[in-house]
Parts: sequence; C-alpha cells; structure tokens
Amino acid sequence: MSREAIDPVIIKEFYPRSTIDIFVEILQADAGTRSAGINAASVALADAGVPMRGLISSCAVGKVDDTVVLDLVKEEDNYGQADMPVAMDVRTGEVTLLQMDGHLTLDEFEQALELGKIGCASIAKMQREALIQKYRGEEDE
Amino acid sequence: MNDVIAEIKRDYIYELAKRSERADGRALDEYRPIQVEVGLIGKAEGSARVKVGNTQVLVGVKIQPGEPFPDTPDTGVIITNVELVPLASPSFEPGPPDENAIELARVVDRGVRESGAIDLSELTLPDGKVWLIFIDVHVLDHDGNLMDAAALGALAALVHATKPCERYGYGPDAPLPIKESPIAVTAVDLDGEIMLDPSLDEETIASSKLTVISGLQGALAGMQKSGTGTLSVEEIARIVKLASSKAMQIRDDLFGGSTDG
Repeated sequence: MSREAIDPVIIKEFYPRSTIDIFVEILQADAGTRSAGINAASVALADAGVPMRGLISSCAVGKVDDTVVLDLVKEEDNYGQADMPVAMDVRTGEVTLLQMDGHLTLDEFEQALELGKIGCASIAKMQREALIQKYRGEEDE
Repeated sequence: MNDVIAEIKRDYIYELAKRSERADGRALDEYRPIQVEVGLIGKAEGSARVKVGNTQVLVGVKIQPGEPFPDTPDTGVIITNVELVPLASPSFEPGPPDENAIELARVVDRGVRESGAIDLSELTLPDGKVWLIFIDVHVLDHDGNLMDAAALGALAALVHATKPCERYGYGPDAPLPIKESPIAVTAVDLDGEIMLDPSLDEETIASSKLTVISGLQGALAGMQKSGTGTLSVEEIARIVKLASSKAMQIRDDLFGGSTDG
C-alpha cells in the first residue's frame, strides 16, 4: 500500500530497468506508522534527488466518540470507531492512498476527507521546510 | 492485475468512455448479471458461489471451536484467506499468496469485521473457547472486479452457514449471529467517467480502483483504493455516494433488503 501511495509521483521514465528501494524502519509504533513512513519516504526520495512530480503527504483521520478527528494515537486507533489513512499530493490534490475501516456515515466521511486534506497540507509545509532547511544549512557553512 | 492489454483496445475503451459507453454495452453504473448460489460444498459449514458476469468466486466458511486471542477472550475470531487459483487467470501463479491476494483478503475481512456483519460477542462458548470462523475465498475465474464478487460470496456464505454445535457437544446447530449486510462496490475512473463493476479490460487500463463497502443504513464500513493511479477528492466523493446507493440496490435485488437471505 505504501508503495502505491508514492509510486504515482516518481518519474520512473527516468529509470528504465532499475529498481528504487525504499526502506522504512518503524522505531516506535503509536498509530499512524504508515502515514509517518510515507511522509518520511517522500522527503527521503527528494533528498536522494529522485525526480518527482510532487511530494506525497499523508495523515490519518478517524472517528472517536462520534467525533471526526485527525491523527489518531494508539488508544484512539484501537478503541475508536473508524480509521482512515489518506495520502495525497497536496499541490495537485491527487489522492494516492485511501483506506478506511470502521463506521462512517456519508456526512462524516466528507468531513473526514476534508480534515485529511487539511492535515496533509500542514504535513506538506513541514516536508518542504525540511528540504529547504537542508540547503539553507549548506549555504551558511 | 498485471495483465497486458493491446493499445488498440485501450484506445477503444477510452473512446467509448468519452461517450459514456462501455465495451460490453453496459451503462456506466450497471453491473454485469450477478448470480449467487449457496450450499454447494456440503462439507463446509457455509459456502457460496458468486458469478459477476464471467468472474467467478467460490467461498467456503469453516466454523470450529478454538482458543480466542488473549487480548479479546470474549469475542469470536474471523480469519480470511484468498486463493488466486492459477486456472483463473494467466497472471495468477501457484505459490504463497501475493500482494493482490493479501489485499483482496484484507478488504473482504474488513468488510465483514468492521461493518459488524457478525456479532462476535455472541460467539463465545461455555468452556472458555470461542467459535473460529474461517472464510476461504477461491477465485475460479478472473474477469475483473474480484473485490465485489469475493465480498458478496463471503456475505452469502456466512448468512447461510451453521455453527456445528452438535458435532462438538454444544447443543443444536444454529446459524451465525448476522447483524449487518456489507456490500462492496468497486469503481474505476476512466477519463472522468466513473464506471462501476469494471470488467478485466476496464480495470487493467484504469490506473486505480476504489472499493467502497457500505452497510444497511448506507454508512461506510470500509474503503480501499488500489493501484498506482490517483483520484481527486471530488472523484472520491462522487464514487462514495454512487457506491453507497448502488450497494442498497444490489442488496435489495439479492437479499430482498434483509440479511436473512
């Protein structure tokens, strides 16, 4: 699934007969590991200089106690009513990963998708900042 | 899945999509004929064969007493497995389940589990054991949209399954506590046209699929996007609405709107 989340933005045409290996190591799992992995992988690919159409940002939305919430923690994931990881290219609004399990009404789903969009947008900002920071650091030296 | 398709066929299907038409003459939101037969496998506690057009799956349900998971001693256990039998498609190989089989199994499992189709709390047994329910999906012929066929097969097999109480000395046989009726509806997006129940050709050329599982009240129980393509938020919202109402229609046609089949 994580592969399918990132695959669409990588310009694979530049790498015929090649493989790009991405290794994600989860050091501590407290829900949202897949989203965190995707976010990290996306930035790491950019850091590696792999040409991409955009950055993928991911976050999880869910429902706890009949309320739609962003970024579940472990307890909310285990005992909540729904869990929905989303990954998207915020710039184009293209969704690359969408999964849901639990119980959501159609209205709640719309709300959740909207919240996921907002969540991904703020992640995208941080990813961008992290990449800019790297080169800013080089300039100062 | 990884089937190759001739470019001329691809162009043809895209050309048709522009005119809101499909290669087999269906309307965009029209399913192929669905046929459900139950109780074909006498040795299984429940079984169903589902045909969606030429796509064919056989689902067997085995039920036996066993140990619950240590963290959930008061609930029954569901274990779902999908077998992509090599004779069903040139792209299926023998061997351990691949990515596609695992994804299919997880979507079927999620539909049954998260919708609350079976009340697992009613599956406890007096001696501390619980009923273990094995859902085994065998894909016999792959002509597209395995997700919906498999999910439908699982539901039909569960609805008609009986707990073999007598065999294990737990009183008379009884049906499973079925509480929900999750129906999966899969859509692809070809050039902005949303097609339900994609045929093999259609799902091969579409870069992504979205499967939406919804219950009796139209609420969503599960969702899965598969494939390496992308979908916009608007497309997703459209598909979800369409899928939820289509699921109602399929349920009415097949089960008469109730879960007792």
